[in-house]
Amino acid sequence: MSYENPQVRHEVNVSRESVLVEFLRLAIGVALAVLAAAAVLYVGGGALARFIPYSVEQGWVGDRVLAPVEAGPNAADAAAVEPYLQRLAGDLARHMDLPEGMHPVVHWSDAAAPNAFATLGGHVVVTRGLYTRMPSENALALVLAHELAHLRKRDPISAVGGSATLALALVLLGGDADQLVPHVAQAVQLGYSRRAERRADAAAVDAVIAEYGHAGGAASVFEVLTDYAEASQGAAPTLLSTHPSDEERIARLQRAALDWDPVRQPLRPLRVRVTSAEGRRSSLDRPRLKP
Amino acid sequence: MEVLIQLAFIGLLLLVGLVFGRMAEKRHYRDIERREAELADLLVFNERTPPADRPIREATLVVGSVVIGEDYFKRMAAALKGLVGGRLTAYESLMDRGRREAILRMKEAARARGARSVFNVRFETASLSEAHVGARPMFSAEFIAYGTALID
Repeated sequence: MSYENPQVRHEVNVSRESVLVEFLRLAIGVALAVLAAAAVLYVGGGALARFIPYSVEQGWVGDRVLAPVEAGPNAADAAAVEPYLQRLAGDLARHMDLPEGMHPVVHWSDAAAPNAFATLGGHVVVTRGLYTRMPSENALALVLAHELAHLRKRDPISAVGGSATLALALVLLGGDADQLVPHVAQAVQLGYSRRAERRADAAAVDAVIAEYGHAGGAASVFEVLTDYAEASQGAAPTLLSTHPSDEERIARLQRAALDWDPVRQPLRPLRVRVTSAEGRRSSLDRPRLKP
Repeated sequence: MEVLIQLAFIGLLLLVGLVFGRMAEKRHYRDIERREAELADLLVFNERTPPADRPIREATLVVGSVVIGEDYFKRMAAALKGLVGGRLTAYESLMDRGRREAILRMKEAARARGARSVFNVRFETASLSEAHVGARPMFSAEFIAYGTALID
């Protein structure tokens, strides 16, 4: 008996389809599926969270949500400014149709960075850094109205509910999907937060117009924030920050204030003056009358 | 911003795995084909008994073994495929190379002893999951081909 060893096509044991092509196809498909699933979970969770009654939300949270926010060493400033902020917020809230039983409380924070946020339980916080940089009461009113709009739409608890639902889904998925999924989910969350911000912006402009009769002076809020961002680290890319790009917001507010007449509708100055963290007086000394 | 940087880093690793993995694989395949042509006259059988009409002077055990591991791109491709199921084409070339390399090394061991054929050839494949990179252990497999070399 004779034996031979002919050469064969050894590729019989290797698939012909390119691994790279298959990988790209799968990666794009999985990414789209994950994006869609994450969007559904975040929106669904957020929508469900809004059904939690406001009274329950207040009962759960109480004042604990403010624990990291302290008045700081200058408690006198807090005592001076908080009543003013509260009164201004009350005036704006009258135009905003807040739900029954919602009485937001405004707090002062000693932080030097300009920031304002609305959080669970109907609490709004304004920092020293923001307050001292506001060129007029109109600008401050826009900020407060924006936060009140968030409260009205129950955005804080919606964000918590959406994030919690997404986090729960990630935990359930376990180790298999932990490479790609968190990044995609984060992108979804940022997208929906931006939508809430745009909505709050629009509602805030309406409230300011209802209170003062015009939207003048409001755009300066974002000019202040843009200046601060550029001074500290450089402008952040829009997609990756929760808030819409400041240039967009400035443009939108300038459009809303097109028929503002600075002479016959002068901007109101801040009623209470406070030293900024850097030691400057509040910008009452440099009134900015640009729209 | 960190999200983009992380994604870019993963993309870079994928690219490195893809490029260098493909290069290494092509080089290995060329080497395999060359040696297979050289050792084509040394026959291997999986039959247990050699033909009765051939005189046998000596018979000895010969073993060829090799360990082959994946690259980062193969890992990602297999992980993705693990979500939807189907053939893990990324690993097919890896296993194919491993098997053929093990047979070649066994043949080389047989040739070194002066054998002209190897009978009762068997395979063992063992997965070595001890290397841990990230959550999933790195996939690597050891291939052993062993048989009885007949020296006559």
